[in-house]
Amino acid sequence: MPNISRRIFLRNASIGAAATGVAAAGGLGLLTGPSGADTPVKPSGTTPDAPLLEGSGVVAHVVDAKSGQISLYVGTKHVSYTNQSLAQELLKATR
Amino acid sequence: MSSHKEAPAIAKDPAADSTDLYAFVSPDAPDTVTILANYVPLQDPDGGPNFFEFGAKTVVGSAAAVGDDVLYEINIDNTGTGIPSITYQFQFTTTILDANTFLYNTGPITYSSSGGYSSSWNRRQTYTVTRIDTDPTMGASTSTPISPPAGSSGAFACPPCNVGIRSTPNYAGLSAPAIYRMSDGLIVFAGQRADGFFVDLGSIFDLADLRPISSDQLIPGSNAPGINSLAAKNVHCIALQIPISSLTPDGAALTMGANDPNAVIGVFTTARRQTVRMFDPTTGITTPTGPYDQVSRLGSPLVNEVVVPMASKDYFNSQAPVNDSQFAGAVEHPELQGLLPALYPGAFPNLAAYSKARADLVAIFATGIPGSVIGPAFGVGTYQGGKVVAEMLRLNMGIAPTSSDGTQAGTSNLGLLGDDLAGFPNGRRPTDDVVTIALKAVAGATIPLTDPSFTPDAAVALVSQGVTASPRAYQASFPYLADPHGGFSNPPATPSYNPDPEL
Repeated sequence: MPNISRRIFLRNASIGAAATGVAAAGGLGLLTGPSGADTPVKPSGTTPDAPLLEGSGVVAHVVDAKSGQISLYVGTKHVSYTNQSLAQELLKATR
Repeated sequence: MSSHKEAPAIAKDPAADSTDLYAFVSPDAPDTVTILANYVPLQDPDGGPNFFEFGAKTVVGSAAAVGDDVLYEINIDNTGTGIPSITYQFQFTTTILDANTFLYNTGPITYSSSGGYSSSWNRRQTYTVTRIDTDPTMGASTSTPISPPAGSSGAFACPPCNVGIRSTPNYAGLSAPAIYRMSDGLIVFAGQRADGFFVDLGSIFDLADLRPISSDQLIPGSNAPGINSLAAKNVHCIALQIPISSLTPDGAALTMGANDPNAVIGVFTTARRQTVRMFDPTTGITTPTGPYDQVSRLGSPLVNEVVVPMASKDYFNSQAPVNDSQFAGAVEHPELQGLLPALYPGAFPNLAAYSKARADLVAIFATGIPGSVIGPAFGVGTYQGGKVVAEMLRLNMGIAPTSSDGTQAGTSNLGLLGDDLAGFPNGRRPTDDVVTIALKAVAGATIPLTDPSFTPDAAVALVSQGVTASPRAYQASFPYLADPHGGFSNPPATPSYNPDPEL
């Protein structure tokens, strides 16, 4: 490839990068939804104190359906929760 | 390796894999301490098209950040409790300017003081820094976000990877702007560097067949110099230079040098990922939820690598140093101590007969070395009072650096074993030969520190990995690890083609 063509390619590619970035961004945002839950402070340093962008939603892990022990995960928090009937209900829903 | 891929789980997660930790009094700024925390091991410089980077959420254009990240931490214990009283947290964000190209860069990447990095750099990283000060006894903590100096953009920026001479011309001009000097004396850098660690992986993990003494091995070979497996590898480095007065419990400078009661700190790094990570097959995006759990840790080199048993390595990585008494047995009776006499028959009779717990190794790795066992110049040594068994890299900040620049000219790379008080295991400098030091220590060189009745075997003097550090990996000033090896110039499998011979 002659030198002049290579320079044009590189220059055009640089301009293109800046122009198309904004257009591509919106679609991905629609797929993932808004973010920004509060970040709880924890003494052990296991939770980042810098502002975080987080996915939304709550994850429930039925640790033991018999005793009703459920672990809930939301943002950067973990909550231990006990509800035997809810645990049984969730278990039933998996069948 | 110091801690590259040292445990089964973290070997599969390079972005969170702490590879090396260095902590030393800055040779060219002796009222400061430099801490280097390296991640993402064994980078071949030509590792495109997805070049190496820190674990980060990703932003495309103006959309919300998605994906899972790594929370990186540098922890400092200045009270001898095994609990960090100071933690620096780092969180990275990857930004893609153009979602429609596969290219890391769409042209040469340049930098200007007015415009920053050129838009031809398509996939780039920025980060935040937060300092957390914790009272180890009360648990109360204060969090202080650290901002880049006035005139910088909103976040700290990493430099690009050293792709090659066409994509990243004038690499020094790209990495220098990523060094941030704060008004309080703190200096911050994060990005790709040459890996300054040097080790002969091929020999160490082939039944410790040390090339310089291979003829004495159980399955003998020919004696030869060692080979540096990391000679042209890169790594990702988080670097801090911190005024010593910011690291002492009272916020004051040391007044008694090596004997100052506030002279010793214990340093360790951690990397954390959130508990739950769910992959959405409809978008290809992983969403994390929950607290950041520790998946990697590093204090002294080689502990998890060659001391902790295979089945416990992942567990060790999840544990806080304050809980390390559970691993004391592996340090007191290291497996390698039993292997050396078997692998080198007749060479280590005194070591083979030694059955006491290795108090010397416990001191080096888990409590610090009392100054009294080395000599008056060692001051209070690296001993933190024996309050707790906690594996950390301990540094006496009151011991002056031996060299005045980061290339460590004139120092002994055997550190304390070479009568150089400013080297490992008093902290660790990039040029310290920690593999040879650790091999000699386990072979018995340091037993007399705590048990004067023991006489090390003559063969200890011959124990060496036989590797010389490459000067190319270091530089005289912060961050002391040199600019990374370039991709175009370092195809790893074709050294004869290499026009910029670093191999």
